[in-house]
Amino acid sequence: MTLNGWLQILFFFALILAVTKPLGVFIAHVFNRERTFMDKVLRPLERLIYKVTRVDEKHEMAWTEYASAMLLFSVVSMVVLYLLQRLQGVLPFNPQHLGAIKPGSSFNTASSFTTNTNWQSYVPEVTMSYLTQMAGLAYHNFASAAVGIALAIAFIRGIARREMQTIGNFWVDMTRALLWVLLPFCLVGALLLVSQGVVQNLKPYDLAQLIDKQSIAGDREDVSRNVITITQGPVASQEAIKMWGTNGGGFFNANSAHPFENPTPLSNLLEMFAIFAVSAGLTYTLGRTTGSQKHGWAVFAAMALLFFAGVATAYWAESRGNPLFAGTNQTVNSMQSGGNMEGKEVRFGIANSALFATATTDASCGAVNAMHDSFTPLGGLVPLSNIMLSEVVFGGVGAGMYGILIYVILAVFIAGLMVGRTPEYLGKKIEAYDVKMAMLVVLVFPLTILVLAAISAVSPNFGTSQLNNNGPHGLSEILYAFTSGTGNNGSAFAGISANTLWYNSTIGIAMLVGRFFMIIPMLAIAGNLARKKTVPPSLGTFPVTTPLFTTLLVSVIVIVGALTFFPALSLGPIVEHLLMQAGKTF
Amino acid sequence: MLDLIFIALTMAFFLLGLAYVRACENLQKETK
Repeated sequence: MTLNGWLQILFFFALILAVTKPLGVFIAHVFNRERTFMDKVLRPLERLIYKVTRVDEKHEMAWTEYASAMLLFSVVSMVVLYLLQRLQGVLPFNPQHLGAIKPGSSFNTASSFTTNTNWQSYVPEVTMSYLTQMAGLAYHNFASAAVGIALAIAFIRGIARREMQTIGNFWVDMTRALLWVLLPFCLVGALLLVSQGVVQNLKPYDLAQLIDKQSIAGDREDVSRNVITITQGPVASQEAIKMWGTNGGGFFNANSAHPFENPTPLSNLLEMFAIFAVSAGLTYTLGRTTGSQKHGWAVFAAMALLFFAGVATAYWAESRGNPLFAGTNQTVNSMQSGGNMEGKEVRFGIANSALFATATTDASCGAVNAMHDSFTPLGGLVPLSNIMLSEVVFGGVGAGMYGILIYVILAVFIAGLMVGRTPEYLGKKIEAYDVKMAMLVVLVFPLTILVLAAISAVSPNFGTSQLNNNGPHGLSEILYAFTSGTGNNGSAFAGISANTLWYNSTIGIAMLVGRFFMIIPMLAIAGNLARKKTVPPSLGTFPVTTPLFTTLLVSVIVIVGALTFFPALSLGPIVEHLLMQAGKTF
Repeated sequence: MLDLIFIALTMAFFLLGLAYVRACENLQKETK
């Protein structure tokens, strides 16, 4: 680890801290229909959308109607994306003449982009036409992110409202999220990325003549060629929402490690900033809307603590290098980045690779600028653990906020049990129904991951046959795939060929369960909280604005995660680390 | 054939989602 590396990490965090309040205030204004600087342009457009779609913006929904509207919107979007992939061979904007995508992969991708996961079992540049990329995938990047923000706002309303049956209007919340929070920032973001060299065009791929013939010896076949293909496409427009909407699905297979997606250290900083910005802002929106700004900062502090724990571990582990390279100089100096540079880009180095890996899995983004499979076992443990902690460290846009609020309810409940009083959260009594729903949210996640990973790990025909590594590393690859899918992260540990009927189907289902079967009980809590009266704080009320609350919240998140996943982790990255120290790799 | 299976699977999942909404609502009424 170097001072320079840490200064870059701290600078990144300072940027996030600096935008938390202005973005949080802006988001609160948007959803409370208060004045913003974009209203002159966007308000007429919003009214026009409601007129065309016949949405009554004054209509308020109960949580059941809100959830049903969200499900209906998602199923229609998902089927359309499925059909678009199956029909892309006969549709326009396909200069490479790419054919229809296979049914299993189409289902997986439709599920993936509908759920904001953006897991990719295919190689995008040789699979997806420009039309599918733009009208299918980029559209879903916006739509799924808008759904996430709408849900977080609905949950915050549920906490803030008193004795009301409704939590807002799904169509209105989604439209406002799209028009105010996503589209304008992505327009600016795409231009900034183009300024750094990210490509944006509809040209066919270029062919470049090599001066020297290139020969590559492969495991399966040797490749020899005189010409290489240079991919093109509308990348910048997709890259901006990929990060701002915490989607993560790359235009290219190498994702943000590709120089056309992420060419410079500045574009790298912009992309990492975009991952956290909205989610950090939502903590301020939480405080402002519920009338307890200190509570918003207490939640922010819990997220910040977990973020620094993750990035410090990943940076330390990757900086140490590989102990099996004893005798090789792995120290950082002016000529080399040092540490474990396998699978990392030289232009980013160890610090920015560790930081990116931590940020992308703290949030449910899933974009990568380095290959997580090539991290040291403990370095790879960090992204895996981050997703296993339900991605509540800032988290996905909206998803991180409603995810951590479930843990807030559990923390308050546990605090209430400890002092023998009925738990209260911002003046609302937390009762049996709220805790039951919170437990449904918490339990569906590990259940899906562990069951599907266990079946795959003991099935040589369709599970382990797709692995490129055996032993604990192979288990980590399977575990990571289902964790990433169920957690709606989408990053790949790689090393596993997941474009098979088994993995496409099961990860596709895992993504749907991880998204919608967690959202439904979460909305039920929001609806239940909105109906409650508030009670004034008493001596027995556990304050949710103090460092003690932040500590308890962090403890609950870590303990729930550790109790659930430690056995699986100990068989994967932890034992792999111990074996690496003993001189064995996989 | 696989197309029909995957579209049916998608529809079935979302119908299950609607049933889950109803089940949570019923539990809410019973718990009151």
